Amino acid sequence: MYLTAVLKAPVLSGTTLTKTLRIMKLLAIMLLTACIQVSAKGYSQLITVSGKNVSLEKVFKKIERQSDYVFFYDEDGLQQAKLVSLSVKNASLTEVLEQCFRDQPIHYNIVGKTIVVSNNDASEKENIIPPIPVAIDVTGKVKDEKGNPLAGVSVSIVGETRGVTTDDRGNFVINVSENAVLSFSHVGYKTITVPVAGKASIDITLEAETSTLEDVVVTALGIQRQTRTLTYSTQKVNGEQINEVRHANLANALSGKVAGMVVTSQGFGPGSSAKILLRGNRSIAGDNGALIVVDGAIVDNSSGFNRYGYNSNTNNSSDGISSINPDDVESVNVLKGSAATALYGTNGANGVILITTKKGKSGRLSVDFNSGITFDSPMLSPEVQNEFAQGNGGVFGANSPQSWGPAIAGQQVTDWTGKQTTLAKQPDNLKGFFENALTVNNSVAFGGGTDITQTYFSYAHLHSDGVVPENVLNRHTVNLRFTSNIGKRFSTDAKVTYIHQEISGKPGVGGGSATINIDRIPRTVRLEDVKNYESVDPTTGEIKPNYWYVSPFYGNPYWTVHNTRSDERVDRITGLISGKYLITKWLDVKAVFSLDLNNNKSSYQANNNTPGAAGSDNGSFGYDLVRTTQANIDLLFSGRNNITDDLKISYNIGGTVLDNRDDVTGISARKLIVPNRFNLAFAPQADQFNWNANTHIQRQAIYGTAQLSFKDYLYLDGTARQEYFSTLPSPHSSFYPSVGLSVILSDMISMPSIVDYAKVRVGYAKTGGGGPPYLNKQTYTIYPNGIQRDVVSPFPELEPELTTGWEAGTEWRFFGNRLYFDLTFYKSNTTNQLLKVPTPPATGFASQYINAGNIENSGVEVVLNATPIKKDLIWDVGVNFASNKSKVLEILPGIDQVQLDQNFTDYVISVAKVGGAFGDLYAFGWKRNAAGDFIVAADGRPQRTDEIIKIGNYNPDFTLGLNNSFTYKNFVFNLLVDGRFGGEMISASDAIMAADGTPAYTSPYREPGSWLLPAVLEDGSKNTTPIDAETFWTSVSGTNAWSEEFAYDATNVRLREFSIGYRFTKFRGSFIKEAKLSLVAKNVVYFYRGYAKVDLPGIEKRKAPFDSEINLFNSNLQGLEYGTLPPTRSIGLNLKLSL
Amino acid sequence: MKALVKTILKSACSLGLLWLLIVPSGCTEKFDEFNTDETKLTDLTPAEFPRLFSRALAASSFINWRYQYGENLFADLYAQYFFMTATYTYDRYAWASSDLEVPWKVIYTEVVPQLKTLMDETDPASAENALAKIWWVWTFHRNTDYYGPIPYFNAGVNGENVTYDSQEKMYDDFFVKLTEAEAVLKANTGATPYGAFDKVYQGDVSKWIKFANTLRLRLALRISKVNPAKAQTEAEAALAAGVMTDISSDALMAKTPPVGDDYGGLSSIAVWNEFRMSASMESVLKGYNDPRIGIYFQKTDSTNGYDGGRNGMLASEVIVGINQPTYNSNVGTRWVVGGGNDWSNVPAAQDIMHTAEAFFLRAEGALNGWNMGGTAEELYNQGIEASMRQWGVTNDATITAYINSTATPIAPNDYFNSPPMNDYPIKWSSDPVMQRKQLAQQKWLALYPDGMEAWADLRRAGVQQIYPVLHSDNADIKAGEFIKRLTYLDLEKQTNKEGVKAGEALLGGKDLPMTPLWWDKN
Repeated sequence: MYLTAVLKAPVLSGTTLTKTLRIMKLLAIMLLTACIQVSAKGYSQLITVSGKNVSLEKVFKKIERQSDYVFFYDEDGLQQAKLVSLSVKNASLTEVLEQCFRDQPIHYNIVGKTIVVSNNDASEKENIIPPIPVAIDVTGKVKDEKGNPLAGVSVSIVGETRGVTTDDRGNFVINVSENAVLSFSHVGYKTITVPVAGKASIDITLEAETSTLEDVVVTALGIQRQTRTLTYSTQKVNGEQINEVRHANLANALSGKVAGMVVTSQGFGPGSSAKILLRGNRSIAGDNGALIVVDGAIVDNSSGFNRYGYNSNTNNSSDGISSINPDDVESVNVLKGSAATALYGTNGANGVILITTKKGKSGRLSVDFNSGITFDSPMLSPEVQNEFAQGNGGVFGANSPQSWGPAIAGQQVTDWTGKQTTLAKQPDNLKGFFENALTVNNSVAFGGGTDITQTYFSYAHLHSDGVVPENVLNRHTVNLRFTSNIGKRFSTDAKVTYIHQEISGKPGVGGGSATINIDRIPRTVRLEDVKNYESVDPTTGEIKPNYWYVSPFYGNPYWTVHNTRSDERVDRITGLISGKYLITKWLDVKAVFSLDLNNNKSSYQANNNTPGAAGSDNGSFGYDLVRTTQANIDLLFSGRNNITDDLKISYNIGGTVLDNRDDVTGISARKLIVPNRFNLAFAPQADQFNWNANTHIQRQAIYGTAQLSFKDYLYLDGTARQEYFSTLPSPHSSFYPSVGLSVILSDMISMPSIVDYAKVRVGYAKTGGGGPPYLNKQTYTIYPNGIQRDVVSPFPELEPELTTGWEAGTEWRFFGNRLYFDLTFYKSNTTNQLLKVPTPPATGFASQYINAGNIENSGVEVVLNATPIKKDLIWDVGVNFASNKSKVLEILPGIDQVQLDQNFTDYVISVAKVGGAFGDLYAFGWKRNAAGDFIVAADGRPQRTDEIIKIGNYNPDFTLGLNNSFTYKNFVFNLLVDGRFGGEMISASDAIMAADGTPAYTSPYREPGSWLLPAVLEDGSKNTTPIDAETFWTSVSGTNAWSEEFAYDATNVRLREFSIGYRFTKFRGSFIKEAKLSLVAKNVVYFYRGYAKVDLPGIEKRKAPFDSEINLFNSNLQGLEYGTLPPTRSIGLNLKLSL
Repeated sequence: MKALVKTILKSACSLGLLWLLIVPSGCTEKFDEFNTDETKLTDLTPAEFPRLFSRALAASSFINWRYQYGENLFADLYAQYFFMTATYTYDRYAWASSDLEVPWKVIYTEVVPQLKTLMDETDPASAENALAKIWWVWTFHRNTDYYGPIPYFNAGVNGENVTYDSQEKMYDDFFVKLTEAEAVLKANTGATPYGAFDKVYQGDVSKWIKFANTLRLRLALRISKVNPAKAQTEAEAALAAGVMTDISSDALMAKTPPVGDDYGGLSSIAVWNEFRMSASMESVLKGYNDPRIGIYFQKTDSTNGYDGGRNGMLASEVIVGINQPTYNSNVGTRWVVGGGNDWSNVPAAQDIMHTAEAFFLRAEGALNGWNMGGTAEELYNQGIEASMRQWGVTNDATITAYINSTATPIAPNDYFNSPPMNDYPIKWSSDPVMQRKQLAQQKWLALYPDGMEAWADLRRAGVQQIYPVLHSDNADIKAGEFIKRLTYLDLEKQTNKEGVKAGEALLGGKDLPMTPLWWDKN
């Protein structure tokens, strides 16, 4: 298995990829042609047989292969028959049979699809086939103990090689003789045999295997392994767990279900990208997001960075995982640690999410509908004060952007629109902006096929309105998969998925977003007035915004959503084709080619007269065209041998090429010839700008794995991967090994009877993180006004980041499989971090890259599954717990701190500092003396700390998920509660609002001189100068806020998912086989949300006004919320129908 | 045999999938090509040199927002052309060291690499080489006059540390480089170096000769107190070689809006409403009834007059209405469109050096007793006239009246009821002490809006005719003192520890804002 270690540098040429592509294309055509021929044969009953002096048995086999008839005969009886010589081409069955049975001592009868062979001698008839059995069609259904239909159960006739498998709903049809015995077997279940005894219908319940766990999971590179043999922990999520309570982004559907996984999304509404962290953050320069692999193909999961700075109305594009239709998902397996992912080498360090999608199954056509409708509403909005009016210093101001005005007491005022009006509370002028939204999610899937070819086709449509006006997402997913078994040795798999997604009115986040606009609405401004967001300027005839205060930060939110739009269109095609050939019984080879083509157009526009869009009279717009092409080729030989009866070996040797190209064209234009015509045709030449960015990354690797198993209870595992990565300097190579050991204690030594299964495992591995492209060479950038050498010095010595990790774990099953327990400890060290460090600018370079540093992550994961009740009522409970601690051990000699993400914000920075943890948050705070007293200036105002101080860390201390499922008769009830505990987060929205005097907590102390802060002066003397709320809050908040005051404990516990379903099982005589109607809900309620980190004297405890799972960025700067959309609660109905 | 193996390997590689198993390595020959950014250049040829030069020109004058950190938050305030209407501390002599990283990085990483390539790679006898040298001097004299000793001789040489050099050595080299460049240009009068990519003179060698000599004259005056003999020699040599005498040879750097980022710095930051006309400018321009007032500044939105504010206000004073942007004059419509919110299509060329300055420099030289080709008075009057004409004041009678005016600055009618800034009249005085003051004041007016040169001049001439700064937030500067230099960057202390330590030693005093520079002998 360490074969690859001795490999030398490459000496090869040619545009490998294009050539390989051409070969794969040929292969595809060949496969397709083959499939078509096979299916044609399958349905015609024309037979071709030729041969001299062949036995009838052989001829019968040939006929069986070419038709759907089977022969029924006694082998001894057949001995009496003569050999025959035949040469027939495309003859009918009877023609062939006539030739075979001419002048034979035996004859045949056709019963249904069975050809019964009997002796001519009536007296001996009973010797051959005593008595003549009648062939009948037996139908039935196979279920598990919970009554769920079991798909893929193999139903075979004892003593024969024939068999069928059950379809998606557990149904099977088999033509057998009435006295046959059927055997039902399925991985993970006890095999049972049932005599047909003339019954036309047989329903079976399979019992789960308890003594040994035969569960099979997909591991790295699509290699299927029995769970018991694994030397590392993985966690599987079944399709049913994600396709009932469906999420627009599959990543969010995994949240709370996997120990050690933390999903945060960006608050752009439907279609938002998500960040998936497994076992914490490892890399300072990398994005730390898990690798997404669908049916063996790596998916490009990038979503780009926020287009503009944090202070603008900004968003980014959809990620790869969100384009997967949850209804197509068969299962998801999560590989968390290095030992599990070492085979992926580079980019395997962050864990891998392996998604297996559905295939067609042999049997009759099945049709599945999954139709859902949900109503989404904002579940959280900032608590605002309703006592004080628009204005400053206690005085009403019709054009004030703030709410430091007088107490609302029905005063007559002239408001910002010029109307005479009465000041009145507007308790809903903030909340009212957000709309209740509708999400409709429909999918249909067809599956079916013969034993030879199977087809799966699905179409899904997701329509989702955002809670922000004008925001709509529409996504169409078409998926076609074609699998076939050509003969006994060759099988193929071909899949094409097309996704078309349009998001219109995509909300932005950050400073200029509609969310910030509405957060800042003065408390007495009427929302109805704001809705009238534009008017025609009588002098110029131009459309102008109606604002109470002109500034992009205090914009009219309706103008923002209507007239500063952002849209996105995605056309994505992913294709996969693979062939597998069984060379011998113990060796097979598999070739896979996949392609992911993603076209993304993200556009934005600002109408004429949009404040803050200087120099863009008549409107401006732009769009980014991103075209990503990712091709993946794999070739894998898999073999297994028994060295002795006790000692077995299995191994894989393979190679892979992954090629990723990104082409970006950015176009922008302004000063349009006709106002608000957002098309290049309307843009003057001089006001059009465009730019290009291209990246091309390729990696190639050869890898091998070997596993030795002793007596099926001791497993030794090893993998090795030699990789060549195009971003690394010559020889471009790196090596990633892993080794693991597992012991099934329960099979090795005798255990108390309550223990069904016990296993311990330990693994060690090295994985890597590839560096970005283009670091090796000196580059020069072309500017309109000249050429400039780039200011980052070239780094020809770039090395990959290395993550060395070990993990140890144990798994136990008790009480007849009713209690399952998995405990994992792990530790990883990521060294060789790619760091960008400043250099003395006088060298001519502003910064340089180096490989250094060491970040450690260690933690524990617990998975506990139990079935406390298993009677009429079945209660399953699953608990997952994970805690990850990160520690920055080293950065660089002389440098003990680096900022994570250069995306500087005024509110907070996130750093990795030696001795601290990854993701420590630093910001300004309220100065305190050694005794911890707050310090104020002589004028009574609070004093800011001299420097930024540590506020906390954005990572949770631990996560806990609790999934309950109750099945009673036809009712199924699911409940997912989960929580993130610990960690801190800063709300810039809150900081902005505090300066405006809108949050409820700014109500007290409005009278001048009413607030004497219990604090001291710098000299230690007691503060004697009272101030007021406006003075206090404007000192600590706003765009230069002391973020410590707006930092909240990020702990939250919520009822994440909830569903009650009723399964309609009997539709006598109807074409409907099954139906399930469910009430589904997401983000139902918070059980707990954290409080502000600093208790301000005289102010009640402040509860987090945001959802800590929604972050401004998807980079390593987490723990900041700024104008992100409110979290939404969804409640609806879901209907699943199977035909 | 080897060739055969190679052929086999190659064909195996071409077979795509098969190579994976047959050949124990990857097909990595194309990796270098893949790993080359198609949007950039990786090799330079002489054909790219003109573009290197134009980028160096643009970068060195702080394009776009960089101008704020490069000039506006420091020199422009210290020269009291403007005061801050934002509550920042810059106007009270306090800044974050990181603010200065912007100009520092611009000079060393965006200007130096380009100029160094040109100085090293072009023929030393070529006009291209000469222009690179001249621009190197222009760039570096501005940078060193902020801090004192800085990395110079080893600038652009990659290594762990870069040594700092003394100002004296730098100034010696400035004169050498300018002299060499001038000689080369004189030998290449038919050349058009860099052609249209020369954003200052479009390759006009005769104008570059005058520019080089005028710069030499400027530097000569700069060292006139620390090394009077050398100053005189250099100044007289510069004059003999030919300095600017006509505004047609004024150095203005063309900007290229709206494409790219090459906006005039002052234009792009003026719409932020963070600074306005200073009370100093108001006092003098109004007092002199100066015809340039409407060119330098716009009338205010609120008062429809020209108004300015004092430098060094507390935040609580800044936020008072009268000190806010609407009550004070923004820069003139040459830089921003009226109303002050669009600048992007204003093709305001950046003022680099003008003929007026050459006359004022000569006038000062004449006061020093040097042979400057005229009397101090003549040259002073010519300087005023050149400045007027440069800004479009072409009426002879207006200019003559101004030159003969005995007007003095007036009280600016500001929040602090400030008195007139000083009592220096326009008309040339007979008092030698007053002559230097008048000269300083007129030169200060003429240099607008180049705060960097104006601040250097204020420090060097020592007249300090401007208002005292109201408050200091800098513990190292007492109220009423005028700042003498900027302190070294924390960035340098972190990344170039040895270098900056040597720099402090060469400074001849502590790394403090009140430590005078080498040539500052007041």
